Amino acid sequence: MLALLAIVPLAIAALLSPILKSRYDAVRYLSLAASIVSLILIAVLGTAPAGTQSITWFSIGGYAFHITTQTYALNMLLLYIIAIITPLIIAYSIGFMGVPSEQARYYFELDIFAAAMMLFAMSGNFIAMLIGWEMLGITSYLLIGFWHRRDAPPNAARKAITIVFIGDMMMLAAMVIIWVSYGTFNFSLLLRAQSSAALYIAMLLVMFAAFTKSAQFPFHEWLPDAMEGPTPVSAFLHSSTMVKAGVFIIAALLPLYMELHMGTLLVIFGIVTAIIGVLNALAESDIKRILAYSTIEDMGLMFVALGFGSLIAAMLLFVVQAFYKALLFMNAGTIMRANDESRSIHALYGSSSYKPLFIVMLIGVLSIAGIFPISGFFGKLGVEISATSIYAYAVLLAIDMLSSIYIFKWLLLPMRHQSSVYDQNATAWNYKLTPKSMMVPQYLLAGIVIAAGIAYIYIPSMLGSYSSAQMHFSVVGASAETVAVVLGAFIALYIFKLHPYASKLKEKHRYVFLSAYNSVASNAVYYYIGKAFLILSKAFEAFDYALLGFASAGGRSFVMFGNLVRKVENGQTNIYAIAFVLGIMLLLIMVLFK
Amino acid sequence: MAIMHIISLALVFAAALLAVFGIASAMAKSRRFALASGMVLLAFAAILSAYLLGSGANYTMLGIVHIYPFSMLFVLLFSVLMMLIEVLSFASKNFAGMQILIGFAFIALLVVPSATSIIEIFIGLELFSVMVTFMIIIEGKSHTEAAVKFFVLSAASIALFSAALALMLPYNGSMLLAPASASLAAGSAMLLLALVFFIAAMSFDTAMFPFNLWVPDVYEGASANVTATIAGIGKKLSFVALIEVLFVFFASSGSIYSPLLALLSVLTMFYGNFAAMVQKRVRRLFAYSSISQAGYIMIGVAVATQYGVEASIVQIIAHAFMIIGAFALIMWLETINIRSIDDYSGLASRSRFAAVSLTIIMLSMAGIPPLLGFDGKLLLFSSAISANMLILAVLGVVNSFLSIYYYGKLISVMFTQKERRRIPLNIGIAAVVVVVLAVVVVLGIYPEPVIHAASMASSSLFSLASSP
Repeated sequence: MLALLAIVPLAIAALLSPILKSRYDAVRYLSLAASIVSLILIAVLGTAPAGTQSITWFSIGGYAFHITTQTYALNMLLLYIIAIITPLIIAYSIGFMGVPSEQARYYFELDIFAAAMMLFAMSGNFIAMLIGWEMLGITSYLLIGFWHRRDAPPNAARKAITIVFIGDMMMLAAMVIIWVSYGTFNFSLLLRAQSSAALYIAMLLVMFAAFTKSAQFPFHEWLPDAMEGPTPVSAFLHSSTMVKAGVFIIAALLPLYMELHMGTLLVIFGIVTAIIGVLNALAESDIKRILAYSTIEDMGLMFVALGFGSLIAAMLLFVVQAFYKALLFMNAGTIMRANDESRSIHALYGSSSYKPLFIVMLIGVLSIAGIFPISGFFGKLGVEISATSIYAYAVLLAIDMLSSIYIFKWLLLPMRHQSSVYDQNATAWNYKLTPKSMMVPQYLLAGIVIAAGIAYIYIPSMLGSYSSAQMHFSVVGASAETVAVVLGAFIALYIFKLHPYASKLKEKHRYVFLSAYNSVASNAVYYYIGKAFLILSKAFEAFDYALLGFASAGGRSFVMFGNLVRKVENGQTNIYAIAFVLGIMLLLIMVLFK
Repeated sequence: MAIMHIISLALVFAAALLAVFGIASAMAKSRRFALASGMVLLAFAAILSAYLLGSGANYTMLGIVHIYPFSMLFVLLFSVLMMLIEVLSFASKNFAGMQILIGFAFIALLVVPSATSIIEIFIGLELFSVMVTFMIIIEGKSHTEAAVKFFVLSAASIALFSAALALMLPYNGSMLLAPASASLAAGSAMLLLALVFFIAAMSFDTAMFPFNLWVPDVYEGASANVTATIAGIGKKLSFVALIEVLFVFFASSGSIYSPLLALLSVLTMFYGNFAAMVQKRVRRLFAYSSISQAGYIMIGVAVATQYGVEASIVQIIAHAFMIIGAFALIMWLETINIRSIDDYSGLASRSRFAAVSLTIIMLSMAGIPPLLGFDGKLLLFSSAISANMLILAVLGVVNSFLSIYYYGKLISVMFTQKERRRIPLNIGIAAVVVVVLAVVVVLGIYPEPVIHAASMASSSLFSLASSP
């Protein structure tokens, strides 16, 4: 199994972590080495001819269940992204994670997380996919709640796992439906299946399951809360793993969605989510939560492109988003580190004083905003021009303009300096103390972000077997996009840079953007749903107590029987021999009087 | 084909050599030599039988050793299990002397699965039970009572088996392990009597209710490594004999014995589980639990289909490893006087390894996925359902629930917080337990090799019955 081999180094590193618990240095570098070996193996895998491989997991009663992997272009695309980002994340973590006692647990969870995503990326049937999918859910729960002694992380983790489990149940239900109606779990066989009502329901369930993982409306609220996890985890979760899983599964099954005319659904949910994401990002003032809402928006845009049937546009954004989002989270972590782990964007200062950081930040921001020729431009523009209706195009353009405002706000506010010179110097010194292992991944990622623009050339040919449609960027589209983005940048500059008392804006723009109540409203909905279930569970509890009384009466009778046995089994061999004879008589009676 | 003959000759030769080296090591009174020679020869036998199993060889050698997937699977299983027993027994004072018994017992383990006649099966079983009797005694005078009990009651079972043989022979004219001739299959009273005697004799060995009263006393009276041998190997060998004779010799009488075995299986499961609930000593708890496990294995035999036998084989493999692991841990903890369930309280804080591995083993016994015990039970119950014996499957599931009561009780006791002196690790026992855990967990998650081997074995056995 060549494909599965790529996971093995990370799995081994994960299993060794608890054993090497006391030697945390070894654990870090082991994980880093494992992730680099995985990268090499995946690169080798890319040169091998694409195909499916299958091992029989178990066969029972004439049914064989396989774990199938496939290495087609789409799978390889995601595998490359994960393989490139994983070592960078681990390298960043080496500088970031200072607490020795927690290292083994951290790298154990991180390695499994990466391995699970790789397994998911190479899955060729629902079984392999589900294994990766579930492991992603569980490890993300562990990683989000990593600082389990603080108050907020466990709650955030619980919220994430609750929503993700809803998706898991839907995925399982979809699998059951598919198995019953088509008798296969294989993706490539399913893609050739006749469409039917059952398939429609199954695909609807898969879509909502994907929405839970990719944080789409109405399941988006877990993602901002997930910012309670360590920053490298956020960078990982938002770029290449977890949230990408949902988009990827829809992309892999896109022909079915097109055939069943479900594209409009995807577009509607995608646009609603993108609007929610962008408005919240504007209203938000937490440096990581802004990025989280921005991820929600990006994922929404990908679903929009998928809904319009443009796999290439979706995958283009898929690729470039992975790199710029990883970079921006790493930047955020660096800024927070220099400012005593504050997260409010109004309490962060001096990012411009540390030039290397500022340059990579600028690259990331220009990319996410969509300035030519940095990679984000192609991703955003691709989604815009994939729109088949002019209204959708206008909405997408507006979303891009608004996203330009919040991302420049994200860049500009931490650039300010404190009022006292002493504080300024202290902050500048803190920036200088940033470990090399945190900065080097950012330089590398900045380089990748600039270079990732070539995806515009490669992706259409790479995915040629999936979709014959080509993507043509017109000058008009490109200039409209650029104008929108630059306009957004100027608005941001006007509000946040020219205004010396930016912190006063905090209260104001809460009213400007009513969307700030989105969180409150969504969470209230969750709350009432939870409450309804609680009432139901109270009823079950009452029933349970009734059952318990019944069961304990039964249990007492079992124990009485057991005590009877103890009286019979008193060590007397002759009694045993009598039982022997009685047994033979029993058998004879049964045979003779049948 | 010549290479196959050489390999199978080498296998027989290895078994013989094991006995010879056992005698030599007893004479030299060298425990190390005993262990080294034993491990090497058993590993050799395991490799050869694995090769023969993989190659799917099927032929009879010298007219007495039938090499086919069924026999090779069990020879492989038993040689691996015997290696575990060797490691466990190494601590015993009389290990050098015990090596003789292990050597001759292994001959029985080779003879019974690959038997070509019922006489061979008979001799193999007797050889094994005599060796076990000696094994119980050789560990010291304190075990004499258990040995005598085992001997007296196994004598009764021997008598029954020979009575069954005596009844069969005049009707069949041949004791070859082949479908019985028409006169026997016709269903005369003599046939029924022979069948009943045979099933009763095997019910003793496989500990079916009500022939199982000896089990707790012997399991408690013998030293733990011998108990592991009886529970992990001896009983499984009897199941092999039972399966062979029922599905080859009595192949055409399935409708007669199937309900009989189903009844025995249900009674045994309930008896074992109920009795285990009230036990105070851990050894007796596992004795009763292994009785109920034998009941589960019997489900597959009672189903009397190829699929049922496949399921039984998987469960035999699973339980053999689990019970040896459990008794290895019991043996280790008894050296520091931890015997009753009360003594086990707070075990996790004294030795996390012991507590965690015993927990995994017990979860596997209770049939919790993704462990091997679950795979076995899943196959057993689904085989019962596919043979339209739904009630058997339902009762099996009910019993799985019942068993969680006492396993769960012991688990929760082990993990109560109590700070006490830590228990030093015993390397030999830790090695055995690690092997068992690896089998239970790895093959539990990826059961295909076991299921595939079991289905090969069971189809090769059934092809014996269908061939003229």
